Amino acid sequence: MINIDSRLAQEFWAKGKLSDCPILDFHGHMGDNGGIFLPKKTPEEMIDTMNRCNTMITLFCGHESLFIPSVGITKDMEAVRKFPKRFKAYHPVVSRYLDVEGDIDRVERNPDIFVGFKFLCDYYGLPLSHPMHKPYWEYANKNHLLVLSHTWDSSLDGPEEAEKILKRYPNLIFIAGHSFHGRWHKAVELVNAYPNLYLELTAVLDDRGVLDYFINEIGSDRILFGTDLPWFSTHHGIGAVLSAEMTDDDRRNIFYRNGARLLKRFSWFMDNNTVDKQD
Amino acid sequence: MEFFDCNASYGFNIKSQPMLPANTIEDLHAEMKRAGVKKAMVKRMEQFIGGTVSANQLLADDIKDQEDLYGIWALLPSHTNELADPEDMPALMRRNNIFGWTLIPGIGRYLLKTFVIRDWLELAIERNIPIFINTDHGVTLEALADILEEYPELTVILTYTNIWPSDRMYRPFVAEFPNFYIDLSYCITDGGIESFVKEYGSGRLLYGSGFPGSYFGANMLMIKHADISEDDKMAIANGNMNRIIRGVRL
Repeated sequence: MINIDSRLAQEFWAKGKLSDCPILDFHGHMGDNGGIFLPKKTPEEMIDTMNRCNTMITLFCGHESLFIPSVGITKDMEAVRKFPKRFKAYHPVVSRYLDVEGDIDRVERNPDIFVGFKFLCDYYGLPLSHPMHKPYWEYANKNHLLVLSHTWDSSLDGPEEAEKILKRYPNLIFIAGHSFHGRWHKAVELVNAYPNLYLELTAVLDDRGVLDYFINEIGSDRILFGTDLPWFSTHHGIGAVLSAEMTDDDRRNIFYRNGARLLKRFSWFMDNNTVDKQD
Repeated sequence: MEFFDCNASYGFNIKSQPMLPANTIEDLHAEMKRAGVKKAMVKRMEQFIGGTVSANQLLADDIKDQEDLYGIWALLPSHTNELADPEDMPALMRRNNIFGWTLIPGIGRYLLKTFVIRDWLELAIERNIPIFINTDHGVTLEALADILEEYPELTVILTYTNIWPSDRMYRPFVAEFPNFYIDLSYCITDGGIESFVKEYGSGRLLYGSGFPGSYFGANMLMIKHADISEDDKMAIANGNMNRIIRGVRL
């Protein structure tokens, strides 16, 4: 049942997925990860999960792209080429092994693969605002791209670092992965101050009350659904959104509408008739 | 599909108040009703912060007449004579609707060694009393492994409080110890239930929420739409926990 006050919850409970409420997942990965056992980590296995929840597209950056630079992003590009309607990629910004010209050239030449960049500064030990990252921010800003950053209560990618970027680059879309985890009040402050900031829900939804707080403070228009797939169950995430206090209209914004609004900047999304029909 | 939550709490947490607190039994019941949770194993947060004896009693006072709630008492070493004598404990538990124990070496400030809690461990085996282990309460997996190697037939329900996919940590316990169960409160890996059931069956997984820190409904939807049989879903949602409770001899 999940939530007796929500018709949408009752429909998801009965069916598991809804044709009139698809999911857009803005925070995915793919492939092997040294620290964890992932039962469904291949593109095909992830698509199985996506089909079971009606996740139309997952935006991702593979584990190997982020953690094994000698392997690089070949597998991510292959996955998008193989399943162009189901996956798009964030190009990794591997701070300690940057190839600025090569990375940006790759994004420039592959607009049907990449939506922007992925930052993971906490892992690499360098701040978002480090000068070596500047060309990536400038390129994303100039081209109105999406930038997904891991954000946490951290001196490297916490609210203070993010604000430096948001002040300088108003044209890119800054997606705060994990919503500045633990700095919930500051996340709200930043959303109110910067219209190009969106909060993403991976690893937020296991904390009861945070999403309720966000909805109460900033509404639902600047919140994006994400799961860290293949890490966390999409149904778990859906169940949490259905459980939190908000209207079903708010839930549809989070699951799909907000993401669709952002993705319409890409021609491939506009060309996807199935997605358009369901918006 | 009925849900029996193996990991719900309520009460006042002076250290870290949940964003949406459930201070009273009425708060807990209201949220269970909203989500459609039928039964729950419950603890009071004060058991892990305040006086153990007082908080155990508060819990008992709240739930002794509640048919849908089953209490869990926190244990201390019997050497200080703060809790009932082991021989009196089963009757006291029966009168107060208590069906499990939990170990709190952190806040309770005791060593988690078998010689410290041997009488409780032996009673647990004799009476089939489940022991709920929460890694936030000062129990390491190393200490738990030592206990289980000496008492392999203990019924243990593990709440491993880390949402990182952790099968490498707990699957060996399941393989080694026949009465070892996993609370799904923090086990939210995509495909995790399906993968586990394929290897070990559905008999060792229990629906748990972690309420009020987490929503009841998140794991409910994950179980309801897992790619496993309906019988397996029922076992995880309520069947396994009901079986454990029915086996307790008080």
